[in-house]
Amino acid sequence: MKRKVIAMCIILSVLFLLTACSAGEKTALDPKNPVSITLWHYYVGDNKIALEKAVDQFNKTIGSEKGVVVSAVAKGSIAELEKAVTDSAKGVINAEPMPDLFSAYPDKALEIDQMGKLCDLNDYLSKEEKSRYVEEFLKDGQFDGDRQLILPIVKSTELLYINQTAWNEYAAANGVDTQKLTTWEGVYEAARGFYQWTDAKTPETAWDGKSFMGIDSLANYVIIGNKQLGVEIIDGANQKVVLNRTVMKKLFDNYYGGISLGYFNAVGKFRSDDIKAGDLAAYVGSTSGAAYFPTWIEKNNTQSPIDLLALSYPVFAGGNPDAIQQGAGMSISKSTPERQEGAALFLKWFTAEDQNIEFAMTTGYLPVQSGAYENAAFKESLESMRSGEQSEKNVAAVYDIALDQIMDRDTYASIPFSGSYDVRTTLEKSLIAMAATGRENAMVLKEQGMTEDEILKTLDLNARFEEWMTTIRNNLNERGIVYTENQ
Amino acid sequence: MKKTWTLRRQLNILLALIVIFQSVALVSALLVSQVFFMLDAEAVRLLNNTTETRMETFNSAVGLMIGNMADETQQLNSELILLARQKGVSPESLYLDNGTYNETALLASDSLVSILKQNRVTGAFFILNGSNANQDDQAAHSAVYIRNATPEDGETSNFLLEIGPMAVSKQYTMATSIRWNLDMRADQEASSFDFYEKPIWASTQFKNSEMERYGYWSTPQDILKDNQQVVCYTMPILDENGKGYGVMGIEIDMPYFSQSYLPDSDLIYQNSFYVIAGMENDALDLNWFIPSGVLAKTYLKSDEELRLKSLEDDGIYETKLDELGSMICSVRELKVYSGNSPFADQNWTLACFVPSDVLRENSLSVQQKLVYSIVLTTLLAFSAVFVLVYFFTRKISGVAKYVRNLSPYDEIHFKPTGMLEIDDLTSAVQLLSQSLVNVSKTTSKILELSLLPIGGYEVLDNSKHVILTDFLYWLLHLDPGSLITKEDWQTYYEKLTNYPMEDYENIYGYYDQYTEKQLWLRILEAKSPTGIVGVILDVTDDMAEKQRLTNELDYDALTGLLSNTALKREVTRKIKEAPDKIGAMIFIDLDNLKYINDNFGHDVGDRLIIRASEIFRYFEQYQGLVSRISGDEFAIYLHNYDHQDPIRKIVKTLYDNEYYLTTPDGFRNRIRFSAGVAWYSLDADNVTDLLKLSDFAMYEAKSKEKGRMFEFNRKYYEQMSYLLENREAINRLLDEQLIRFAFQPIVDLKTGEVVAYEALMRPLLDNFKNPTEILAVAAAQSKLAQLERLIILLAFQTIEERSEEIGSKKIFINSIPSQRLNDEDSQMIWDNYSHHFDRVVIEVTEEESKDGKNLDKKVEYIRKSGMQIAVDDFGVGYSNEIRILSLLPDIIKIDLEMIQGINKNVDKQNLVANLVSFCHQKGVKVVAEGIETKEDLSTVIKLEIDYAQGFYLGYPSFELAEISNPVKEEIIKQR
Repeated sequence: MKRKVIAMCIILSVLFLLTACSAGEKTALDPKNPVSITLWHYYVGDNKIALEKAVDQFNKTIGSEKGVVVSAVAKGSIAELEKAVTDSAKGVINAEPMPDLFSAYPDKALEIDQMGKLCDLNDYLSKEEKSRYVEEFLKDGQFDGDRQLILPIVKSTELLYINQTAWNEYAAANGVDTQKLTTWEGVYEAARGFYQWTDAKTPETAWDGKSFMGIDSLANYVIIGNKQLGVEIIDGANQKVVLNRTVMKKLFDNYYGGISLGYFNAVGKFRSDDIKAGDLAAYVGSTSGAAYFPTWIEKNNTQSPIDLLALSYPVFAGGNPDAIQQGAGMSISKSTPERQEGAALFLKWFTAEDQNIEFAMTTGYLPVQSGAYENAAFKESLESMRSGEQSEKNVAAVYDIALDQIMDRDTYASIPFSGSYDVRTTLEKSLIAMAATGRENAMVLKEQGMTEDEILKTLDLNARFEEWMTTIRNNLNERGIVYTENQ
Repeated sequence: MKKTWTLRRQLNILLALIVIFQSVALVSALLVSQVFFMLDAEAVRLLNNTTETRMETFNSAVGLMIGNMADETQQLNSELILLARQKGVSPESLYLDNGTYNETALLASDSLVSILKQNRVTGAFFILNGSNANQDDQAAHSAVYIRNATPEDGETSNFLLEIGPMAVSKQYTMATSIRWNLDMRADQEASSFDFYEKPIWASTQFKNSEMERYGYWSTPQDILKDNQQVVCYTMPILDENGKGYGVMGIEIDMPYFSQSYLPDSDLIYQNSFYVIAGMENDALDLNWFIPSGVLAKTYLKSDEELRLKSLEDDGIYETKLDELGSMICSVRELKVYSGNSPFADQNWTLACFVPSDVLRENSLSVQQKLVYSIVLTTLLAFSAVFVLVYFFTRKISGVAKYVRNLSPYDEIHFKPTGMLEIDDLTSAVQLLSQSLVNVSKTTSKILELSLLPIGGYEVLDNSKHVILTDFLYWLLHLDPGSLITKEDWQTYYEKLTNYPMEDYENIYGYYDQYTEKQLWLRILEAKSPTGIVGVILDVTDDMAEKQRLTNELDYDALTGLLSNTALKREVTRKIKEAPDKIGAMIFIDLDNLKYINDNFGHDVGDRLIIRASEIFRYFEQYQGLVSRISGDEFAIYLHNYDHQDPIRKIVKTLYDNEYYLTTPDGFRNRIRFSAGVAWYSLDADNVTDLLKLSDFAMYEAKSKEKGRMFEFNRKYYEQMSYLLENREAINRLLDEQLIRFAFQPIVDLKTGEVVAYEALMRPLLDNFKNPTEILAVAAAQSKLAQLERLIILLAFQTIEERSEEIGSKKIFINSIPSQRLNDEDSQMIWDNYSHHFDRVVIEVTEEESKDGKNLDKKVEYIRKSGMQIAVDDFGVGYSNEIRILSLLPDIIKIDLEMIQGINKNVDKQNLVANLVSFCHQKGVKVVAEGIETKEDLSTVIKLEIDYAQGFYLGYPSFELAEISNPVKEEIIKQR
């Protein structure tokens, strides 16, 4: 009897143990209890729609299978997105909760990571999976050795968009060719020529020439200009800013002068809008804007057709033909294991060739997996675009340049360091502000009947440059960013 | 039968029942109180609340938005009317002039931006009645369409100009979209431009009504052809006369609608979702629907009708979705139109779907946990019951165990259990045990005093020792009261039962070595439930008496030889002891006892027998069993030989000597005996058969060569066995008169008529195949006289019975020549049947007529009676003419040996011709026997034979048959 009692006790305790233990888990995900993932992105328009479609597809297929539901929230622009993420990361009052997944540029990712809010994606990527990505793109998201903070989503480079219809008219009248547009100096000259040629069309009205050139991203202009001339202004290796006065002066003069005298301009939100309004005839901008380059422009409230001429990014005379390589990837913030895993699952799915090509090609981005470039579907759609409608032909032309730049030329992405993001802003904002003042002053001087040279002289580019540099220095000091200045 | 259960089991069952009853009561209480139902109802109520709240939130958001839209639209209306006045045009033609249109567009975009900033919508638009850019195109409408990717904040820099002049883009530094255009085209399907047409139509229906009344909701559609489904709400732009010339509207794209208006975060249930769709008659019309997320999109089938089944609660329905199974659906109608709207009949219903098992999860989980805990507590209670009962009953079972292990010789001493009742019981048992001991002592004493030599023992299964009574101690010479182990007892028991007495059940011979006395014991055993009880009784005196009696039976009083019974027993024993050896049964019959008896009387006969027995004791030196079977028959059995020859030698030696008996007349008579030997195991394997077969061998000797020994001859036996075997049958046949007669016709060869019948004896017993066997057996058994008497008496009886049938024909009766009826019988026949004598012919055979004296007397009698005599089977055997002469028969029947084939055999013809002539000279008629062919018949007719019989003329039959006509004619023809 005693034995029976003992046996009974043992059986009971084993039963308890059995019910207490559950099978070991390999994944934190549970299809029956799906995890909800919030994704913040900066895409607008067709990119936004394309991303939402992709999210939908993911939720319906692999997401429902594994137990992940992604909801994508548009945050407008990169700047707004980054502000929202920073606020959330810092825990600012009224800020939204930190998203699980968000678009991020390297500089911002690094900043958020320093708050200890980002996941190392190595935990979710096998070697084999990593090897699928273009190594360089993947490297852009690596910090502190091999912490993978960003997974590249799509990449882009910048190139020169030209309203070929306007250019041809001008070129034919003035005997210039596109060779001139390979250097910044040439571009400046062409822009001046274009302004003067259009101004001359209405002799009765002075200073009514048309601007020729626009720059979408001034930060990129400064960074790549420096790089072309042999300077890494954002010196990630040494975690400092290098201000080479000679190079910076060249960049300053080119832009400040161009804007002040009306050869260059920036009116709408993007330079492509300026093309549409007929305010510009060319601009340097991201390949990702390819689809935004119009097939017609508004002229007297009606549509006037134009063609696109896409050229490589201009190089400063004597410089190395470097072009920017950029593109936001996505980062995963630290949360619960299942949310992190769910976010990673989506990221990997979204950047897999099929999805990645489809998304990239909506506007002119470049896919991030090396296989994509060899992908038959990718090549096929390029081919069909070349022979498609005008708008498709435009995108195809941009791809031709972009692929050439990415594959065969030197592309450059600055290596960020803590605070380097602010450097970009500082450079861009200060130059815009300087140029805007310059333009206003020039307008006044134009009224006074000065010639272009007189105006430039009066504006005193040297003094303005020093002013700009001072602004930069102050800003850097304010943010505690180390910099060196040299000739 | 009533079951007896242990106290432990009874207690266990009782307490277990209580536990079970409690659990059952608990479960019933739960069921009766409907706790689970209440939990379910609560879950449904919660779901209803959630849906209700969502509906209210939605309604108020939409209400606010509509209000804001109405304000903005009205304001724009007045602004545009003012502008038109300033420009001196009608509002309807505002689009025509570039400048005017640009101002119009800018005014409109002010309103649109204001709307976008104030409301959570993804786009706002303004459409005019004509196109500024394409004035000739009727389908084109100038429009301003602004989208806001981030409705949560109204930052204009995030706005995207989908449609509209660049002036608007510049005004707000607003990017243009990829599909940026100047016009909106109506050249789509009619219905998809409803967002423009419907509100204008509404404004024509109710002039000067409030703006909200004209508002129209369009269902999801891809307005801008960019793969984005949007829901629109539009209001008309009206001139001073209330005439519509354009619309202002908002759009909410599907992803944002889901995120913002139908947030899944509302729903605490797994796999649940919202959907907005039209509902009619308990069915959701999924022609269009606004899903809350991927689940709704996955599981709801567009363009189908989803039937809902109404449940008890208001607004609660049930339905089935493919993979999700049964769904509970909470439904609320949304208020998107004011009551007086012409579109008020358009039904927008918010439905919230929750899988029913998820909804009932709580109650199910509570139910599950309750079941687990009830089962668990029941199990625990059971174990507690078992443990407690175990400890409680341990003392009691301890007492039981103690008692079980007690030896009857132990003194009983119970340990107190501390339980009053139990202790009372044990002390009572102690008392009882004491009195039992006394009783058993008394019983033993009484047995002893009864002077009966009787004792008992008990072997208990669960005890190492055996209990004996005093007698057994005495018998086995053991110290009284000493402990005897089972092993020891086994040895004693084997000794006691080592020599079982044959023929006496349960009696064993036992040699008491101490007293050197042979004892006989009767040992009886019986199984008791706990072991074996036995009684041993000394029956030595009884056995001695019995043995004396047995002796008398075993030995022949006259000769002192073994009796028949004893022989049989002893032979059986010997065979059993050595079954593989050879044995011989010698059956001896004295040849001349009858003569001595007849001539000198029985005293001398007895002397002969005693003398013979002395002679046969010769075999005793060879361990032979010598016995007198009966009268002058002796049987000797020799056994334990390996070969037959030594036995033959022994028997031969007996025969080599001559033995004599001197009779009172002083004559030395030689004592002769015939003997038969049957071999064990060659001839037979048991005493009965050995006796029978050796008897037969002796018979053979006696019949063939008296005074010799014959060994059993199986071949001969098989021929003659009937002689022996039918010994009984012949008695029966004689006693019960089991014969009847068949009649074979005897035909007169001159007339062809039947003149006589031969009465042929037919046995009514199967043992005998023919009359010859009857005769042989009767002869062997010396029953011929009786047989003769039977034949004759029965024959006359038959003749008497059938005298009419027979008429004047004669009847031939076969008589046994050596026998004759005694005087008494003869007289009886004379008295009864003398009137038939003249038709009777007595046949006698030659071979049997040896005993001349009898035959003569018989013939004399026949003659005197007037019956005729026929000699049968004439011509074979001892036949000679002298004999015939001496008999002076009336008829001679020529044996069939002589007749058959006579037509071809001249010798036979001559012989028969001679015989016929001789007989005819003497006046003797001749009968030819065995006529079976036509040829033989002709021959015998030629030879002038008087009568004939045989199968050709007629078979023996129980009827008195006539000859067939053809044969009769044949005979007549021959004459």
